[in-house]
Amino acid sequence: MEALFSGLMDITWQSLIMIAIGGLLIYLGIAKEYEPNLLVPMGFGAIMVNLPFAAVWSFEGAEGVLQILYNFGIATELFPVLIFVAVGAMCDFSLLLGNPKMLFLGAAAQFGIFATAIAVVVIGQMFPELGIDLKSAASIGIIGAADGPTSIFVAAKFAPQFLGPISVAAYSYMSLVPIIQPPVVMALTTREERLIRMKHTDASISKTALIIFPIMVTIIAGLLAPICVPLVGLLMFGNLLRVCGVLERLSLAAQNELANLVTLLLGITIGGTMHWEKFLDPMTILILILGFFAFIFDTAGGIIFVKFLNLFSKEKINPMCGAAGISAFPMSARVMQQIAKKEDPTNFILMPAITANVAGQIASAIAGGMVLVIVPWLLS
Amino acid sequence: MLTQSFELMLYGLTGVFFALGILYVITLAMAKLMPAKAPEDSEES
Repeated sequence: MEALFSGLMDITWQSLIMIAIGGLLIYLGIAKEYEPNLLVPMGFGAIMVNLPFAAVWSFEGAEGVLQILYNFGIATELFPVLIFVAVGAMCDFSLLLGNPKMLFLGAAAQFGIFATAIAVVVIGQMFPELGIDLKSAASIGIIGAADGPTSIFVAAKFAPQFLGPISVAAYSYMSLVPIIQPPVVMALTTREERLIRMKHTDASISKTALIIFPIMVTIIAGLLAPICVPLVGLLMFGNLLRVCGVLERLSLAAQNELANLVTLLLGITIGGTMHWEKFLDPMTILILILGFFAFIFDTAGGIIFVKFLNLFSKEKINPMCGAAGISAFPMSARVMQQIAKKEDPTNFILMPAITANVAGQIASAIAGGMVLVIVPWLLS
Repeated sequence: MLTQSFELMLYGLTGVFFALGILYVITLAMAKLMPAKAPEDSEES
């Protein structure tokens, strides 16, 4: 009889809070449609792992299903890089090849990663009891990549203990881009700047150039930051499947079956890391707050960079395209188009904004690689 | 550690801009060397 009620006796108020948080993630995914592909499995994983005895993680000394998935797919970083194959197969880089200067907008919008890392270090020095080191600061900063797989890839290497909150922050704020970015855009740009029209040149790109591009990006990334090849390389491999023209079935499989399966497993496994003993911690609150600021810093970095470029260039760029340089694709570009349309219903900046957004995809993966190279070098 | 975090920003942003700068030059060169010759050679976006 006692065994029958052992589960009920084992429940704690902390696990009830986590079950509520899991429920909230499911609610946000289903009712608000905020990244439902990830938030629903994540929320369900969080509920399961916080039930008494957490049998889904481990039971009587044996690994549970979520721990097996974690060791197989997250600890080895297999899931995030497989997601990148899918993302690459979905990306159209032809716009970027037609307007390559947009690459720099993607680079500028990575500012949030580094600004947030500095903020984390400052907080760490104010509260030494938090035990923050440069690796954990960089892992929290990487939320500013606005790219789930990159955040998971870096956090799994540098601060696996914070993987759960970092992933939750990265994916939640990506889905909150329509709420986070507009106030920053309005604060940092004038109406005249938001009214800037941009020419969309429908540049015809040769198929050869489209095929060479992903190979070239992989080689450059591999030469400059070899550690980022798993991210950039597989992103570009996915894109090669798309553009080569002879692997349509593989390209479609990457975009659909692979993306769906890995997203499902990734979401539920990340949810499995959200046990209350690891999650209900002052660091989690700090990560969630600073992750929010990482997105604000990214947006500001992109806008300020474009304003700086506009000081010298004849052909002005709408600063909102700088804000679209974050990796949250294609939501950020759509949000910028909505703002532009509000100011002037005949102004269409969607294509240049999407180009900056695609540049952000490449830049965020490279920035992740840079962080992985530079932090150990600074610590050595 | 604060100095290191500023160094991370300096080297990190420089690295990202440098990598994308190389890519920019190569992309411009590719556009010059490999223009789309005929409509069937161009990719529909």
